Amino acid sequence: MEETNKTADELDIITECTIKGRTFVITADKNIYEKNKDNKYCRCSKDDKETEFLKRYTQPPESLDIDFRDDDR
Amino acid sequence: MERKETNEKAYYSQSLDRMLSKYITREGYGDFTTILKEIFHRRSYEFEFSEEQMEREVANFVKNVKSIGFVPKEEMSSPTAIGVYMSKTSEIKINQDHYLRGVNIVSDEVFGTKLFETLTHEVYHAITDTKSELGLMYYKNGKWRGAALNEVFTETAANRTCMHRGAKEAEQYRSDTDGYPEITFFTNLLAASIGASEKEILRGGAQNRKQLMELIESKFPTGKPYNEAQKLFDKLEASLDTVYNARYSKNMPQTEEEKNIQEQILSGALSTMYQTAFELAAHQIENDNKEITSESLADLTYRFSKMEKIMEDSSATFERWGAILPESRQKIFSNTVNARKALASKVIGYDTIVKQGMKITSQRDLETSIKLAKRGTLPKKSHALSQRYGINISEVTPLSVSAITDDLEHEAYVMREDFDNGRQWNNIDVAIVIKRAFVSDMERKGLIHKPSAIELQKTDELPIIDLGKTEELPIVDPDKTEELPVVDPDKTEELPVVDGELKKKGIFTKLNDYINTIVTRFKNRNQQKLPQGKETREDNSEYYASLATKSLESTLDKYIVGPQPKLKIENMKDSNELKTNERVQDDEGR
Repeated sequence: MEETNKTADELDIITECTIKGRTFVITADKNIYEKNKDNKYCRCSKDDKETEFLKRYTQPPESLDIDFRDDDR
Repeated sequence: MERKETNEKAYYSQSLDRMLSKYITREGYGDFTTILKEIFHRRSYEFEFSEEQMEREVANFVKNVKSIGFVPKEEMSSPTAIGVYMSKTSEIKINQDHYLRGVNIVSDEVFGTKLFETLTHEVYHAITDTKSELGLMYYKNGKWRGAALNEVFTETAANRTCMHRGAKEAEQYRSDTDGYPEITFFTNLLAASIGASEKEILRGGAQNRKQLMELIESKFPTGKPYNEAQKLFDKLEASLDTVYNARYSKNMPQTEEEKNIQEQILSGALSTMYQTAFELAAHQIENDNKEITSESLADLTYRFSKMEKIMEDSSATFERWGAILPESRQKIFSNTVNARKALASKVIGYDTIVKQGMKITSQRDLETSIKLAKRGTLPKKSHALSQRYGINISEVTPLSVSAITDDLEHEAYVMREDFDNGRQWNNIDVAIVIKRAFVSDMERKGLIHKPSAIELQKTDELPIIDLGKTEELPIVDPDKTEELPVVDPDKTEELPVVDGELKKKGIFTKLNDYINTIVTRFKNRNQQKLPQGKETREDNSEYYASLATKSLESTLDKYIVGPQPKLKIENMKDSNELKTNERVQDDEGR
């Protein structure tokens, strides 16, 4: 875990979900935090398997109808 | 050719056409030449862009797009896309399989207008997507910002320049777009939250992020208020990104667990989006320098009702499609209670100042009251104002506009700015030209049978899709049938008009005639609803506005929490009933 014990006010929370009893939030800066029993938030490590599925929601949205030149981004 | 009396916009400009002719040539774009010119004429007119700006955009377009064509869906970058702008190869490709399905089903005007709108969307991408200026996408802190905002603005702006605005759209405060249909409400939500009209916000968003942010900045004093507005806007965009990723991900959830997670993510992000929009509106109203007058009260009332209606309507759509649960939708409403109350308190404060402000004889008290009204805290002073000046303010903060005031003429007043009415665009000509280009290309490819001279003499004969060829085509996805342009009884203003000339050539079918008969019946039915003898643009505006007003009166009551449990149950029942009429989710972008 990185960035531990943040309060909800310190994070710009966009959405929340519960997976297997663990509560996760996604923030405006596209990070995933886990909520602990004291209602504090800790940033999840990149290799946390439970958050693997959530990463699709933190990616920059891909256009369905623009195919960019490789050097565009 | 049959012509109807219209409210058509006079968007053609000779001088613009001369400039366009320098860039958009038949040698470069063949059958698409006049269609492309039409797109630029409409864009210039609708968003009031100067010729200098148009010249820059057209030059970008010509640099970015070398060819436009209809291709099988396998050749699209995404097989579900109807159109695609290929920056790598400087092409615009339109999904011919998608349009082959509708070519003989709907009228020329409906078919051609849909096709025209798709092309307009892709052209708009090609205008802004240069190396230096990528529309609404950009790098932020070294990270690619993503396409959600860009797609939402591109589609809504394209729709605005192609489709008519009718009663249904006015009632929803937004258009039903073909591309990205679940999220294009965002433009109007953002417009209402910063106090801009749809046209203003599209004008900024249809260009690039810099222009959009300049518009937002113009609605706030510089310094702290604007910095706070930027933060709220970032939060709005982040919630849109999340909704977009949930809805338009190339990897949709497969297992029940994944679907459950997505439902939580989506409903949470929607909740944040609506809540933040209300907060942004409250922040803007508190910080703007406008005086409190009956006009600013009308504007505020309109914005509040617009945001509520958009929330009601768009969340209902997600629920109908099974993307969020009914209880999640109720939770969204509960989560936004405080934000909506804050806005409602401002409306009450404005209303009090406008209608009873003259009773406040002390200038100092008046100034304080105005300040409190903007902050939304005037109702807290109801006792003092009642004692001192005999002013009555409700101490209970309602949650909806209709619960605050029955004077909904405020909305009708401002709505005219946001919504045109009736048939604003002459789509018949361009629809026929683009359909002709499509049919001729399909005939050349052998996908539509070209009628012989003998067949052309028989008016009932039709272009027939070559069955041998269709077996080679990808199987039509039954889930995609909703994407076909269908006759919508609520869109009778956009009636297809039978083209006599083409009918003689055998382009139309008996089926088409049948559909036109049905549509005419709907038209007649709708005309009966119009006030007798009122055919002018002005009169119809009032009619559409009154429709929206009626709808608001009936629907906004649903938000009231607590004393109306029966209403809530009815609402849920309605939602269930709607499920039988459920629209299949489509994965289409453009």
